[in-house]
Formats: sequence, C-alpha cells, structure tokens
Amino acid sequence: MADRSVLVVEDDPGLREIYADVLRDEGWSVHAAEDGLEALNALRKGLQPCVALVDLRMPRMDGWTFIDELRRGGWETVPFVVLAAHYQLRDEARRMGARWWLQKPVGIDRLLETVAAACASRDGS
Amino acid sequence: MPAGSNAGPPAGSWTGSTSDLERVLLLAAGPITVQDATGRLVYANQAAAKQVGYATAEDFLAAPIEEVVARYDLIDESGRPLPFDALPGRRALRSEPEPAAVVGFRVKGDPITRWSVIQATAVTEDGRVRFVINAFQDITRLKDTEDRQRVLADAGAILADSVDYPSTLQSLAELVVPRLADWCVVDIAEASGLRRVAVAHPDPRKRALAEEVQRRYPSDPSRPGGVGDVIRSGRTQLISRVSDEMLEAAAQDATHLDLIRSLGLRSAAIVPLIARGQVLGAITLAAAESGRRFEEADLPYLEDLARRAAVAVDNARLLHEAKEAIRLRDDFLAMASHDMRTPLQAILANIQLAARRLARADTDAAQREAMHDNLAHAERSTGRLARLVGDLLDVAMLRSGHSLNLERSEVDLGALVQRVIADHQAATRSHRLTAAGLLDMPITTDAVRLERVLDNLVGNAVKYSPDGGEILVEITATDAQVAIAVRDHGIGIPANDLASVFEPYRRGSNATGMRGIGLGLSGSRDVIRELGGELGFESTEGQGSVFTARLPR
Repeated sequence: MADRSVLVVEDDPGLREIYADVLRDEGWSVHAAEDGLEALNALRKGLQPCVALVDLRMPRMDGWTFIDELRRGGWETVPFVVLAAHYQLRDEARRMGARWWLQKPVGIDRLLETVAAACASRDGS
Repeated sequence: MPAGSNAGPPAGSWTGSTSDLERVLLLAAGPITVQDATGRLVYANQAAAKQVGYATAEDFLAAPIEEVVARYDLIDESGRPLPFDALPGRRALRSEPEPAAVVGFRVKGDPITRWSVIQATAVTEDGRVRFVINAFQDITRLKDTEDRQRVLADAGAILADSVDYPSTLQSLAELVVPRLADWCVVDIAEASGLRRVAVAHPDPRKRALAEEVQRRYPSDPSRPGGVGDVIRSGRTQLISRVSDEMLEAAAQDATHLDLIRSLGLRSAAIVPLIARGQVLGAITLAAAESGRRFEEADLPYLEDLARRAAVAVDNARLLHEAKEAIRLRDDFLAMASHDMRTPLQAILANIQLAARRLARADTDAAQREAMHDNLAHAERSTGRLARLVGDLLDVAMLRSGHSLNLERSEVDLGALVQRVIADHQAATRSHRLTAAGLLDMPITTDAVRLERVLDNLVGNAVKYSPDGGEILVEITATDAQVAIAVRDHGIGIPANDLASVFEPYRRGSNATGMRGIGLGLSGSRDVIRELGGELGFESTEGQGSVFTARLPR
C-alpha cells in the first residue's frame, strides 16, 4: 500500500486538475482517472492507493458501478470518498453504504480533511 | 275478497261458491298451485302456468309431470341446481314446519331466470296431510335489482384498484359478461384514434372472432354511427333491436358483413365514459345468444356503471401524468445539480487554492503562475455557470411560448468565434480547434445568445469526437446571409436518428455519456430562429457532423 496516495476519479478535466493540485500541494501523490473504467484499469495494473476520491455521474463507467467493482474485485479495503454534484447526495451515499461523502461545491480544507480521515481509517484497520 | 263485502260476514268465512273461489284463485296475481297427498299437481292458476311457460292453467295441469320437469331447471339463491325434493311443497308433504324457499326457474329458451319465494302450507285432517298449497311471490325484478347492485359493488372493487386502466377495464368487461350482457367492449379515445382496451364474451372463440373483426376492419371513429358518434356527442346510443339492415349499413364489404353477422348481435347499448366533463371513450354492451334486450329503462343503470369506470380511467391517467411529471422533475434536478455544482466546485477550489498559495511566504514566479491559472479557471467557470443559467431561462421562456428579450448590437463575429474556441481549447488537449473564413465580419445580432449557441455547438463537436481531431468553425457570407459552420470528424449521427436531432433531450443512439441541461440542439435551433435565422446540419455516421447557423446580415 502506497502511503498518502489518492486515486481521483472525475470526468470534468478542470476539476480533475484542481483536485490533483490541491492534494499534491499538501504532499499527496495523485493518480487521476477520467472515469470508472480508467480507474479500474489502473487498479488492475497494480495501483495501490490509500484512498479513492470518486465522482458519480461519469460517462463509460459511472461512480456507482466503479464502487461495485471495488467491492467485488478485491479492493474492498480501499476506502472511498464520494465527491459528487448529485441531487440529495446524503440519501444516495447512505444507499451506497458510503462512509465518506462530500457534495460539490466543497471547500478544499474539508476535502483534504476527509481524504486524510479515509486514508487513516485504513491505517487503523 | 269480493268487492262491496264490508257489511258481509266476518273475515275468514267464504260465502261464495267453490267455482267463485276458483275464479278468484285463477286470476290472482301470484302463482298458486295445489298438490294432493301423493304430490300430484291438482290445481294451478294462470300465473303459475306462466311461471313455467304454459299458456293456460289447463295446459299446465294436463301436461305429464316428466314434460313439466323437463321444461325448466331449478336453482337455489346462489345459482346451484335445486333438487326437486327440496321444493317447499315436497317438504310440506313430509310435514316439515312452514317450508319456504327462494327458487329460480330457468325455463329453457327464455333468457330470463324467474325468481319466486315459494311458501308451502299443508292442509291436514286427522294429523295426515290431505293437500299442500304453494303460494308463489314473483321476486324476479327484486333479484334483478339485487344482481345489478352486486355488479356495481364488484365493479367498485375492481375499479378502485385502477392503476393500469386497460387491464382494469378488461376485468370490468369480464365482470359484466354474462351478468349484464353477452358482449362487452371498451374503446378509449386517444390522440391517434380509438384504442380497443377490452373485449369480453364468455366463449373465448367468440372473443377471438371479435378481435379478428377489429383487426381486419378497425373501427373508424370518423364514420357516422356507433362508438364514434357516442364519443363525439357524449350521449348514450340504444339499439334495442339490431336489424340485418343495420349490419349491412355498418359493414365495409361482404366478408365484413359475414363476420359481424356471425357475432349474433341482437341488441346493444353504447354508453359514453365521461369524467370531469370529458368523453374518455365508450363502453359497448351487446346481447346475442341470450336473447336479452336492452331497453330505455336499463340506461340510467348502465350510465352509472360507465361513470364509475370513467372516473377510474381518469384517476389512473392523472396518477400516471403526476408520476411522469415527478420523474421529469427528478431527472431535471439531477442534471441541473450536476451541471451547476460542477463549475461552482471549480470556482471554489481554484479561488481557495490561489489564496493558500498567496498566503505562503515563499511565493515565487512559478507559484504566481499557478495562482494565475487558478484564477483564470475560476473565471472560466463563472462564465460557464452564467451561460448555463442564461440557457435555462431562455429554454423556459421559449417552452412557455414566449419570445426572447433580444439585445441586438453590432457584433465582431470573428472575435466572438475566437473566444468560444479559446474556452473549449483550454479544456482539451486531444482536439485542435480552428477558426477560418471571414473573421472580420461584423453583424447585428444578440451577441450573448449567439455566443451561447456557438458554445453549445462547439461543445457538442468536442463531446462527439471522443478520439480528438480537428474542429473547424468557418464563417462564410452571401449578400443576405452570414453562415457559421461548426465541423467535426467525430462519431456523426446514425441515419435513423437524423429526423429526431432537434427533439428536446434527444441524443444519437451511438452517443454515450450524459445528457445535460442547457440549450441542447433543440434550444439552439429555437434561439437561432429568434435571431431571424435557421440552424441546419449534415452528418454521416462514423465521419462527423457539420452544424450551420445562418443569420441575416
């Protein structure tokens, strides 16, 4: 397991870039994927992130499917943070069994805290 | 009691002759019969003879018992066959106390079951039964009313469960057949014409026959007479006796005539389904093999039944519309939430990151460059959000039938195109966006609206060339028109989807990814029309598309 590494899964190129900048500025290593499929391929190739930051509405493979694949594909120990613009995200996150969720727009302090907490939960377990 | 006898002897003693008594009994309204101690019928009045289908009491009495019994079936109140020995008269012969029963007589060849309450009284002498008097009270009408009330109650239960109204109406049709009619058909008026949602007949072969007639000769609501007339007028049509001339007039050709003759229709009532003042369809009840006839007196009841069915159809439709509206709203909210929160996220994160970087003491040239990028990204995102809000308002105005409040001015078209291209180029590395043609062309138009349409067209060109490539925006002109063409080399539009390109919320069947709120192609065309122009396109699947906005100069 790589220490302080994040897999960012976000289809909007501007957001992908800003999340990466925010996280790298705080010393995280970032792997950015533009949809669930690209993220899944990175995991299959051996990427071992401490935490995944996942959008929901994405083309090709959305966040719901990606999280199902995480759970079924042997990556169930990778904690994930849902970061989405979804309407009524809290209900959706509960349905998905997500422990961490953030609704867009979220400030960068909260984003960093949540990613750190998710990553730490893995260290503690 | 004879008339004018109030000053006569006390009640209970008959002073007339036996033949006078016989005449009274003979003409009494209710059927009366008398059996001797062996059970043989020794007396019947006129009404009793009628009850079992004989013209006169003499004929009835002269008939052998086997013949009498063979003329009718006896049923009990619940419709089960009633054994002869269970008749009150037979029970009285066995000295059972005051036997009485409700008995149904189904005389063969008569469509109507006649119902009576039979009260039997044994006349005894020295403790032995000498004869038995059977007094009948005809309750056919009462039973009929009761049956109809039961149909209404059962219909109420079926209709209350009406979410999927076509299947509910089929259940209703099956309920009324054969209790009220031999045939029941329900037609619903829809924008495209009549839709037959229910056909019922106790015999599945007959039902299949009716369906075949409908398939080969679909009922045409515009033809005079029948269901079309009832739906247009909202008035019930009673055809008490269906004549062969009527069938000939209704038939479209000789085969059709043969088919409808084979349905055996004899009498019919076509009742409109009316709810909230609107005729939703019609329910047709027809009699055939039963020989039943619909009369004027049946109509209030049938109209009541139809009204209940109409309310159920109306409720089911309202429920469906409400659910559809909720689904569209949720769909819209999901898209709006995504499309508006995404640029907000970019604005917030970029501004906050720039502020953090600024707060660091060791800000160098590279950090200042990064901050500049953050602020430029935030600025682009506010533009994206502002365009989206403007689009939403314009779409709302146009959808509600209003014109846009245009703000025309002289616009540097070349600069506008360059701006749109630069915005999209900033978000992609795999595409190369180029402007070409008459870049120094001034036109008078609404700059904000035109920019939003071009933004949408260029955005589509990027989105639908997932493998990247060149996107060319070219300006050409004639004396009267300026044309702005946006050309891509992407996935193009499949031939089957070409006709529906401008329908709201439509996407090509080869498109993946998500729909969004905003103008879309349908809104873009509407806006270009508001600007006095027209939006056209050419596309080949697998080769790309070109969308061209033509505007007056």
